[in-house]
Amino acid sequence: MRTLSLSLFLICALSFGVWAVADDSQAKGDFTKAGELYRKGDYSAAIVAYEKILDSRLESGALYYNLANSYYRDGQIGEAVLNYERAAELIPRDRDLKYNDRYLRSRYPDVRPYQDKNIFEKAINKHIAFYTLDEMAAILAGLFVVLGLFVLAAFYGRWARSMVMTISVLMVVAIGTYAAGFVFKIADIRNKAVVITKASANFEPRPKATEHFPLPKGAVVKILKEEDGWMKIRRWDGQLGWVSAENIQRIEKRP
Amino acid sequence: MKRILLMAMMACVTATTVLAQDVKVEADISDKVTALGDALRYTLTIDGSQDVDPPPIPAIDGLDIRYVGPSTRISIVNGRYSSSVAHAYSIFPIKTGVYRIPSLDVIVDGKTLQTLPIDFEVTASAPASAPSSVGSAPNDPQAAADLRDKMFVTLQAPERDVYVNEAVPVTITLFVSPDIAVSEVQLPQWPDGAFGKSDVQYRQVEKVIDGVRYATVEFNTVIYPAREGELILGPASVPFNVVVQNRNNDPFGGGSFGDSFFNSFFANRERRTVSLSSQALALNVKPIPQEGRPADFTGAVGQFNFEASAGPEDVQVGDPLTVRMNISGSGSLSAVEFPSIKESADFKVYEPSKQSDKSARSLEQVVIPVSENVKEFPALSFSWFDPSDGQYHTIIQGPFPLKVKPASQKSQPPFASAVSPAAIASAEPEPLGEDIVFIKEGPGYLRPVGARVYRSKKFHFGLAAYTVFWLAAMLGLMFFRRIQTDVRFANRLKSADTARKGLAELRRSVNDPFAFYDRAHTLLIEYFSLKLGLPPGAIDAPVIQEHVRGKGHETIAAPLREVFAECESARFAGGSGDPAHARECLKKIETILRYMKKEA
Repeated sequence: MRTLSLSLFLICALSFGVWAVADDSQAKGDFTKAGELYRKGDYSAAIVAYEKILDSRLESGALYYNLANSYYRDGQIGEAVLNYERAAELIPRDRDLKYNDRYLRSRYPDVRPYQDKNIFEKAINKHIAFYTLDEMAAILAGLFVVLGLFVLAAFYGRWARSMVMTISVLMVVAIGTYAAGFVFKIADIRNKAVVITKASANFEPRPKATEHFPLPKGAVVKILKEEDGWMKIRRWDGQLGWVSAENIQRIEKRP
Repeated sequence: MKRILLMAMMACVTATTVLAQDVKVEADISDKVTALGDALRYTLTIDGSQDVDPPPIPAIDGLDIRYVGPSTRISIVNGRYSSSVAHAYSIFPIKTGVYRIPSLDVIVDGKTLQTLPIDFEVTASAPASAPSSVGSAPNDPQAAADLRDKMFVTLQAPERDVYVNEAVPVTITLFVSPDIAVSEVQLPQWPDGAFGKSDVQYRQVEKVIDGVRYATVEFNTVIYPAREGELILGPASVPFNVVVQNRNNDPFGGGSFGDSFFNSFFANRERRTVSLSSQALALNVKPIPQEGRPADFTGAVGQFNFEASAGPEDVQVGDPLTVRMNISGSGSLSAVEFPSIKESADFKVYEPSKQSDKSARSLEQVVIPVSENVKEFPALSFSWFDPSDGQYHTIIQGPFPLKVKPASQKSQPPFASAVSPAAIASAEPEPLGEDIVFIKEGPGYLRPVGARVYRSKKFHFGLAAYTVFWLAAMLGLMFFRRIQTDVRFANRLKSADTARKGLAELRRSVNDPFAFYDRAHTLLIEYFSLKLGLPPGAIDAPVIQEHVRGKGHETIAAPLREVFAECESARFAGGSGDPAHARECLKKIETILRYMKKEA
């Protein structure tokens, strides 16, 4: 029993202590200063101040949210959408963020969210948009631990086989569903991008190729392929095209 | 414990030898001749003590000197202990010339020791034996003798005679000679107390000045003088990094890596932050003329266009009417104020909603006619001063005709001349403004960019550790389950334990033969009882021997027979009381049990 407790403690300690504590006092000070610049209406200076915090390799949902607000006020719609999307990865259930995102899209009808045609994809998207990746990883790990402990307890207590099998199958299905959603979300974030400068999607990956459709600032697209500075993208309505990599920016920021 | 004692002895030896050491101070420089753009390493080595603070080097015109840090060394050779510390300084020459690092006072254990002064020369081009890392030295005999001729910043404004709030384009340019490697050029900074400023745009171009080619970074922005008089703009400073090579002199020898090949191969490059400043500019800022100033002028300076609308045209008393204004153009848009709409007997006025971008500002304001006698919304006028022609301009939009009908019975306010917002709200849905929600007060949980739990090694390790724990627990449970349910398995495990303990007892009682044989007999009966899965009462020597023969264990049949015979003889016939026989018997028992264990 002592060994069991010790092991559980070890697992919990390791699971929760995944990041070293960073010295963020400087970043907090910069965040406050940037907020003051925003309040004064100096949005371009606020953008510089918020970006400076990101340059120090620190991020948070509130930081992306405020940066998106600053970009919006400064008239840079592409960057505003990009940062709202980034904020949504960290604070997906924030009501202010949801409102601002919806408001921005209502003011700029060209800015449409990426929509999957498939009903299955839609259902998964709705589900995974509710959680952050960290939350999904924690839930998966928790289910995995609970399933393991349940099997041990059932074996030790010689519980009824039918009950054990039923609960185990349900838990395995739950873990499988979550794992699929988790993998889907990682792929989704990795491939999603926002149009920063007004561009056009061509039929071929070269500058003078025939234009297929225009891409307004802030449009969210899915990247399918990357080739020599060009990206094959899929628009919200399923249309495919090649766009220069300079015109779009990925939502995911790599460590 | 031994290790602690050893360390204590070492500490004693160290303490005594430190006291015995002579303290010596030496100064050294990596090169006596160097080129502009290369950094030198000045090293101050103190032999015999490590507790010495680095002395400051006085500022020398033409040199940028920075303390790098200490390195320490301890050695014990033939029992002789020595320690030293080397304080390193990085010297970055800015001008050519002959320099001297003066004698420095070094305080060691309360005593002041002095270094010898060191001279060195900085030339425009690199010495032949030491090629410059920053790039090849200029071959031009007219090469600059001052690094500030190779890197400089200019501040330019096309107009010096300007008006208050006039948009003045300003260009700040960083010039860098192509033989100098720079990186991470940052946006320029300048004191902006008397000026407002807009975004900074930048571009990189090559320029040739007096036949010399430069790589340049050009920053363009627009400033707005905030008050009249002679205002000083700048100086503007541009911070950036210069990549220089440290000519490193290893104070502790360097061994096989001290030769020139390795020095050049593993060139010690350093990024050195430099901030260059431009000259300042004097601007003559004139006041906006009073003559011809329109009454509605609010300070807008530049070239603008003004558009306005009010609608819908057909409304009822109490219906909201939206007034939209848009001002676009070039100039100090932040100083632009929209024509104000004041509350009157005809209109109830609500707070406006404003939007702005780089080239335009727009306003939406809800007004509500409170009387059916209202026939129009009054004209709106916007005036500005254009510095290009020195004239005021005004655009008037409106008046906007309205057809205001009496309010329907349901929504008619009780007092048409004094409508309260609450009354309007109860009659019609209140027109609510829409805008984004304000920024957040705190940064929330700040984490390293891209750091996610699932990418963490600790997370993976935790899951792996849990899996190992789970497998171990599962195997343990299965083992105990089998012991509980499989009697043969449990007896087999127990027989091994019985054999081990029994043999230990036999070895202890080998000098007491009578007790020995008694225990030997008991051990064999117990052991084979467990091994064969029979109760102890149902087993005796013939049963065991029969089983042994039946299973084909002929190897131990004979020793087993002899052992049982000796046991019987000793126990019942008072046989041999010789310990030597008991030892022989013990060997046979050991052989039997070892064989059985192996066969199992």
